[in-house]
Amino acid sequence: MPIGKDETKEQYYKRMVADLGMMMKLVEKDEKKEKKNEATPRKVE
Amino acid sequence: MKKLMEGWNKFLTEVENEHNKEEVMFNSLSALGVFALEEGDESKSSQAIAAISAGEWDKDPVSFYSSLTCEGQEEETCVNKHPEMTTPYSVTELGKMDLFKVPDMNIGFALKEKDGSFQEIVSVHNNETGVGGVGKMLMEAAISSGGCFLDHFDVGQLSGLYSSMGFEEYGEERLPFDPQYVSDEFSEKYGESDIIFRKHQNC
Repeated sequence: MPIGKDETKEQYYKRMVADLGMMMKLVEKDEKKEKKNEATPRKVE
Repeated sequence: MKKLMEGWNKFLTEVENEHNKEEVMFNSLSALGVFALEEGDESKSSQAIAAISAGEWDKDPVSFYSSLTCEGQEEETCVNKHPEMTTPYSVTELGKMDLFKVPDMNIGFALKEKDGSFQEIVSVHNNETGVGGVGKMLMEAAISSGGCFLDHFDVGQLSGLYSSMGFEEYGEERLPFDPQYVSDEFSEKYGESDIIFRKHQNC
């Protein structure tokens, strides 16, 4: 079980919820950036 | 009959115009959503990508804590809309980890000690306003810095991302969803997700 030695199940869940929040934000920002790139016409050399 | 047809055509034109208006409005709002935050910030994204590629990291726990929480920072540079979902770590706890923060930006990750070495990936974040497209690079940097393990709720986007990057489920079972530790809002948004334990295929 990956719950740390000095960690309760409640603390572990809190950590997992926090990590989820941060990762989802990061993924959403990346998707947003990708959409922006798709919508921006590329320069023709 | 002619009057009836004229009335019907008028009705169709009105419906079409209304539909077009709604469509234009929807498209405009979507476009605003995509561009608003990132307007003019291409250079910031490039700067972040360059620093990650070059392996330039700020290792200071105080700076890392501020990057995670946005405490003491202006909203123009750091946005944290959900402080309750940010970090359970104190500066002291962060000081016991190997920290990787992009210098002068609120972007980074940490490696937590597991079985005697820094190999558990935690607190991957990007709170820097206007910067996107760094997630995969951060994860790659975490792997090349020794990150082998991570746990996460079984949410489609994350499961897909981690699998695609070579993280495989390990252990005999997942940790079943336990509603007593999450809010109702969480359950509504993410469902009753189990926790998955993953190990990178190269570890």
